[in-house]
Amino acid sequence: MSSSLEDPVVRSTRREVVAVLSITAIALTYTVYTCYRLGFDSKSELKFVKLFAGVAFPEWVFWGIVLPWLASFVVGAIFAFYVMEDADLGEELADDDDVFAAAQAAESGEGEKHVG
Amino acid sequence: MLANVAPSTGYGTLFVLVLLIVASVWLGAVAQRVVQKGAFLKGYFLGNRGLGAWALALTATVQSGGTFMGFPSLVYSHGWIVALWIAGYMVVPLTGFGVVGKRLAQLSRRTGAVTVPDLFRERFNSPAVGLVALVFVLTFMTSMMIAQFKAGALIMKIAWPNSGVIALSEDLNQYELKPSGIELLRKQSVAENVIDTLTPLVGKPFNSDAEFKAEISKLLTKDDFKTHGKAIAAAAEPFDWLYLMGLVIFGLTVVGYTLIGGFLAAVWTDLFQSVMMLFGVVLLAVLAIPAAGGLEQATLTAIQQKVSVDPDEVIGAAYAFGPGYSADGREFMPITLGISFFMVWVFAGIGSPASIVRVMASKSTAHIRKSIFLLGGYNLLIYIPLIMICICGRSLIPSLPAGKSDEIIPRLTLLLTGGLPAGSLLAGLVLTAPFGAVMATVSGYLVVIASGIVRDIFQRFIRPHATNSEIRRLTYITMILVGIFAFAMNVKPVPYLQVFVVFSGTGGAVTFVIPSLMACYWRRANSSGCIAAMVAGGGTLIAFYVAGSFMPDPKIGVISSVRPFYFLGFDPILWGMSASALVGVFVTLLTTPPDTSLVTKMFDAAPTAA
Repeated sequence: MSSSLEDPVVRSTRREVVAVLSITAIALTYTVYTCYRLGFDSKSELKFVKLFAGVAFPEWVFWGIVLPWLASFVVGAIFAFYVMEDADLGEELADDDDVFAAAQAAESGEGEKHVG
Repeated sequence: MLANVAPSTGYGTLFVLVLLIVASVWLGAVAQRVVQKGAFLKGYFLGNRGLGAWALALTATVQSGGTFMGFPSLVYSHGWIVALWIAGYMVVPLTGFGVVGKRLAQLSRRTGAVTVPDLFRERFNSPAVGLVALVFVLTFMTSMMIAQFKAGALIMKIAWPNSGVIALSEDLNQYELKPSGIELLRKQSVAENVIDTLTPLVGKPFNSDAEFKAEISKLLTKDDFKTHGKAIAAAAEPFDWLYLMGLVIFGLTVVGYTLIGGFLAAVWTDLFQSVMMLFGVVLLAVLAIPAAGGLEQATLTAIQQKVSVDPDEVIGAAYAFGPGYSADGREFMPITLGISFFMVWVFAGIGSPASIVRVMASKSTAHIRKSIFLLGGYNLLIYIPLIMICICGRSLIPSLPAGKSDEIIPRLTLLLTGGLPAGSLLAGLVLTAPFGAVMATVSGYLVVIASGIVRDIFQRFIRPHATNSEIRRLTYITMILVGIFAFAMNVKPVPYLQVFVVFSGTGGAVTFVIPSLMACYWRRANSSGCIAAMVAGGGTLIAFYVAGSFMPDPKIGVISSVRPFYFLGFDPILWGMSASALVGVFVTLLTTPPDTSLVTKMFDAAPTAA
């Protein structure tokens, strides 16, 4: 049930939520599957992926955690700068539309509207 | 053995800690000046909706003092599998801001909402929704804040020079029946034969009240234990003036600067402290990895560590594989809990009332977008290096006694900075990171709790037309009272801090994630469905924790006597979220649709001026 008058922010964020939840589902599935497949048999040979300056990870940690973490960072950056749309969040509800704030403004003698 | 050395924090830590406190109070004062520029409520509780990208990124979803306390202890104790425990943080920047961030920021402007209950109340035009939301906000956040007060007091105690304490352990205060305690029991007319029975316990230390009571229950008859058990435990209770002093200083500092500057003070000090944490972690990683001979060598050394007098009995490969090493043979992280915890961090980031408020306070969508990127980088530089540091810690400091693994970061810091120029100050910088994290958490929660009481109870139900000065005065009084309450609850410290942290985070998720999604994206959502979703989620979680306390230890997860019921091996977050979604949708569809004008106001574009 949607309206043709629906705010563009609602529409764009709905699309973005689908994208974010899909990325999350992929990350969860990949991470859990890879860690379980490579990292839950302590009788298997312990292999390391060596990177630099003494930094090395057990193979399952590298493929199952470090790599998807780096990928998530890159995907997050792409999402933030190329997918997520900027939008006008709208005007703050003026204080004299808000009975509570109006009472305060009257008390403090601030007749003008305070806008967010 | 390095573990047997009793390192001292010296004056460097105290000096840096005092600097941190002074800086926090100064930030509070600066924040006050900014707050005074607008209307009090929006300024004090929402920073006039002016949060920029850095403030939003580093304060909205970064977690509590647990990052520096419980988490390192878990890595030290259970090994590499803790990387899976924390893995959900890889998508937290995306989910924390990308799922409801933009819409909540828009809705809060459209409704003029200042608090989370305020937002729900206005979105559904229902005081009942606001009230239910408030009850859950106060329940989960107060429990977390009380636990964090204890953590803050313990860190102050650690920082005290030559206190002989460097642990962040929860059981620092040892229970011991001393001759003075025996005399006290005599004065309380406890029978001599009972006192005689207790003689073997005199001078023997116990880590907790529960441990001490278990021991006396073995010595006394059932009737004697029932009659005198409480008095005997009270007589053995330690008086820890360093802890109490820490509690006073911590309470005064955090309540003080939050009271001065409100929401902005909480956010700015949080930001400042987050940067300090990052500095501490990077420094420690740079020092720890070479000292351990690299991560591969550190892992192999840990695997070969002896765990008993039997030379063949070593930690073994379990330290480098799932489900992780546990000294008592329990499965720390079966794959079901791996899945669960991925979700815990993701949904706690979306549903925490403190996070929601910060998103409501964001300046613009451009700032929200930049925050995703900044927080992504921050998490990457904090969590994976912390795991590496603690794996090196296991290799460099191999045999911390049971229950003292929380000491790993302080001990490692003192060990690695000992020979450096200005090492004491560097150690201070690293050691104050947990203090900063705890202060930031308490400060943020204090604002949310106070805003709930002032805005959602006093202003909504008691004095709708309260004046500015009345609200300001009540806000200050509320904060002081909340601080006093948290102090009083911690004079005798609450046990199981980590459980409170997970309970609170999960509680926010199961209660608010589904209602937030309904509020943001479902035009058909109504107040009945929203209330049902909150109650079903929160109720399920509480029921699972109550059930868990009556069930035998399932031998999975973190060892604790306060634990949830892991149905089918999953954390209650899965069941709480499922219940919240199912009940929320079901009740919504069975009840009257919302008023069209309300839906139009919340979902449709505002009519443009002719």
